Amino acid sequence: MTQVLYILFAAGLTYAVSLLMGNALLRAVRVKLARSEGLFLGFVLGAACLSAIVYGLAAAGLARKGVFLGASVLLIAAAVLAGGHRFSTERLPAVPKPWMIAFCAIYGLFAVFYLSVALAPEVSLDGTTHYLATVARDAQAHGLAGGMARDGVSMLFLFAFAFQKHSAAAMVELLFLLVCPWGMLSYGRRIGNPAAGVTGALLFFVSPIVGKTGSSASVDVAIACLLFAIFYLYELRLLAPIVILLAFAGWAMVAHPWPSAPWSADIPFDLTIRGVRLHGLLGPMLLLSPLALLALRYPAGRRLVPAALVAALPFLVSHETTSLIPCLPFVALAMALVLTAWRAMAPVVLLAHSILSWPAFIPLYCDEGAWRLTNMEWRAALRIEPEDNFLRRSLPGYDMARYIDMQVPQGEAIFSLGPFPRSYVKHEVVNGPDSIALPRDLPQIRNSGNRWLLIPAVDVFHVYLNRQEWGLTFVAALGGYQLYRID
Amino acid sequence: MSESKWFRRLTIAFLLLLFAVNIYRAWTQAITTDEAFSFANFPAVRPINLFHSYGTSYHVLHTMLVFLSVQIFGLSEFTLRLPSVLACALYFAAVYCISRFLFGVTPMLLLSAAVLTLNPLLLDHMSVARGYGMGLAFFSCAFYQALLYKESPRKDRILFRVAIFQALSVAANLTFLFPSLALTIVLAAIVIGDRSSGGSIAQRTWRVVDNLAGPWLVTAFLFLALPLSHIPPRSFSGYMEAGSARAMVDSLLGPSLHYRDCDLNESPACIYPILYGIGFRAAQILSVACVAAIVILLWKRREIDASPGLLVAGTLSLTIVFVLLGSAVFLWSYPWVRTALFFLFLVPVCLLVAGRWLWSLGPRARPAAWLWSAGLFALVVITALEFDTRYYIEWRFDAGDREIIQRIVSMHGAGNQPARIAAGFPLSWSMNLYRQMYRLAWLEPVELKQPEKGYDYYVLRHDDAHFIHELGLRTVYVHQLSGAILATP
Repeated sequence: MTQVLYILFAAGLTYAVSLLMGNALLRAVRVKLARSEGLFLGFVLGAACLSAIVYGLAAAGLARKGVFLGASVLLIAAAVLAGGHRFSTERLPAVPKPWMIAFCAIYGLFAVFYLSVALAPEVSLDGTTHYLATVARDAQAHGLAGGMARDGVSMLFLFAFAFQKHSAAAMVELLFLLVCPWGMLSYGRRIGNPAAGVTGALLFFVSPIVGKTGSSASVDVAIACLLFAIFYLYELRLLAPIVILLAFAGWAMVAHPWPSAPWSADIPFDLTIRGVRLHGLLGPMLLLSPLALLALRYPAGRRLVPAALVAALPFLVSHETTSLIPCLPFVALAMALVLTAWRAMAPVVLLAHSILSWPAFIPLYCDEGAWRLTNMEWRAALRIEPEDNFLRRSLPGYDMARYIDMQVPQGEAIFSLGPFPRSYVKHEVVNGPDSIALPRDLPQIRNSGNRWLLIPAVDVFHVYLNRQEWGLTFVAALGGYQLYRID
Repeated sequence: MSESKWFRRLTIAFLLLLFAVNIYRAWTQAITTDEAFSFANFPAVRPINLFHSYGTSYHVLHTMLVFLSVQIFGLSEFTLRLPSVLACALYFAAVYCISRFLFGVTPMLLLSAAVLTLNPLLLDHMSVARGYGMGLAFFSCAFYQALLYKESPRKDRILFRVAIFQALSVAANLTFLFPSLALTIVLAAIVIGDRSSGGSIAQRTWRVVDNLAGPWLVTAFLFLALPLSHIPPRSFSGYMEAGSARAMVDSLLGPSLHYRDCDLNESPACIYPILYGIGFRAAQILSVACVAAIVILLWKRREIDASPGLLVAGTLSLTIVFVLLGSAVFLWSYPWVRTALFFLFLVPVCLLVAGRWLWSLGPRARPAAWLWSAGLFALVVITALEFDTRYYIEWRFDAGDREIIQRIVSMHGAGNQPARIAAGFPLSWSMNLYRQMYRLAWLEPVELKQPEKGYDYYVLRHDDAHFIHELGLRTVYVHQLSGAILATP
């Protein structure tokens, strides 16, 4: 239970420092915002500031828990002195009561689910093999470990990771997931259509891929939240269009180039309903997203639709459902503008979307093996079930990670032919590109200083049969991976 | 024409009586192959199939309601057909409303209700557990709402209701996509052309999008998106299709006018020879007349309004255009019998509206109006005489299935000795459903394959009678109506 308190403390501290600092910044530049806008934009701006500060500390080799704690106290004190704890009393048009009840009920239900997953030990593929692998190496080195690219959100992960490791980092992503719908709701109120705000916010929040990504140590939902905040600042005439364009273009250029599936007519169904081929699903109701184009008749729609189109650009090169998450807030709000004009259609679609996105109902329509949330993990989240047990049963490769830490001599590098939960290993594990092939590339792997080779389950027989010919010595087979020593 | 509340009472009594007959049919008639096939493939195997698969026998909204009905009330012929029976009530209510709208409380009210309900082929689908009747019920409700558009002060609400009913119609059966689309386009044209409702053309167009097209699309999407996302390639091929427009017309005329002696499986074009040419010619004339009527209406009135003539002629002719276009452009086959059921509503409504027009022309056209009404009355008499409550025309071969399985049960006795039935295609489906319905654990699942030696009972269609000689069987029972044979080794 102490662990849980530490995780909540790390997430709470990240939120508090970000919010107070961001609000202090907004007050310093004398921007007049409504209360709900201050809470949303303050957090996002503050998170960007905190990320930069953490980067600076890490670059100076000061990425330590004590330093982060001390810096937090100083930042909070400075923010309070600058009035960062005082929020605007101005309020936007109220949300009609039935809409607010619907929002709170659906938001609450899904938030509880997401919380249970984020609090549980981190087992997501993205988090354990990619984002947290870098963060774990940085935390281990108390600075920026060489040879790895980082993004701003990872710096926030590093901040929380220093307190309570993986789950704390996942909770940071959850913070963005929990905050974003409130920002979208606030936007709906700002444009005088609170019902569209509620509808859009929930279309985004309950989407299966958003829930899955937002409750793990991944960066996509945080990016979506940041892009929406930039858009919101533009809407408030606080940012010039050129800044918006630069921000969007910059983001589009650095968006992760995952290997992509070929284009096909099935892509809409793969994206929204099936969820296997493109790794995750948006939810069946998002098949209606072309309706967002009808929002062009509204002034707000004429800004939301282009923003959505730009934010969706990375999908052209990376056919992954996650690459559409950043455009989802804009699409959802544009759809909501249209649906709220269609009499009872908005609540009907919202209800259907919420029901169909509830993890227990997703198997009714998605393909087997779709990347999605499955169960609430309260026993693991509250650490009633030991973390080790949970990881062993939920994370393929965790057993091998433990084995590597115990058996492979310190300092020796390991080359993995497929994704491996590197964040749980103290050794340096290099994930090979998809194009790597044995035995063609074996000399290159050997010459790069790798003494060990990890093979995922799909390739094991092929390698095992040829191991002697290729100069490999079989060491162990655990949890779907085989470990070889390169002779 | 004279008005009297007695015509209203008579019409209601007539419709109630007909509804009671439909309940009786739903209760007493044997399960048909298609009912059994649809139930076995969708809700019965795994409820997840309702969202995870699609086939032409899956009439989404209807099948979902069948699933609910069976879950709540248990499996029986009536519970399988309950959604269709309820749809029948809805259809009769819509027919009453349409007839009253067109003719008020006059003798024509009763005639109109009879014309729109007494077609035996149409009546089949008011009780059989398929989605066609339900699709027609929702479509007729949408049509009635569309009729109200011109006079209603709350026009947007009317459009919204039309949208919802049409979407439910398509959700109940995809074949209603054509007429539904046609009605939407005609009504949209009426709304956009209606200058009296105020606003610019753009504003009126957005009214159509917000109240009609949008809600229609979203509501249909809610039901159809998940099943249709799992549609197998070329799943519509071989689905109740006619090879030509003439065959389509014949497939509707035959069972409608010659129900009693018609066995579609024996003779796909089982109609009076005299009607073969005349029927198709009449359909052609009607199509041309509809288009001409629209042109005349538009020219005479100068301004578009929602007159019943424009609405029905426009919907019928556009539906025909869609069917022809589907065949010419997309190489889809023509609808056949039940997949063209919407014509059995649209064409009679067209005839009734023409009658209304004749009656409205005044004393000079009175003889023509009388003549037209007499023709409609003759149509009612012909269809009423053909009506038969013992079987469904498209599944006449199934009429004896329940009796046969009951005979097998009585022959088998009270013991639990395992038994096997060899059933010729397609009787195995209904045999299996009865096995499930009567919980006959001793009876092994009936396989879909050619009868061969080694079975305890043989259930054969009359055209499979040659197996009796070939396998050396003994005929136990022959069902008179269906010709089905029960035999033993």
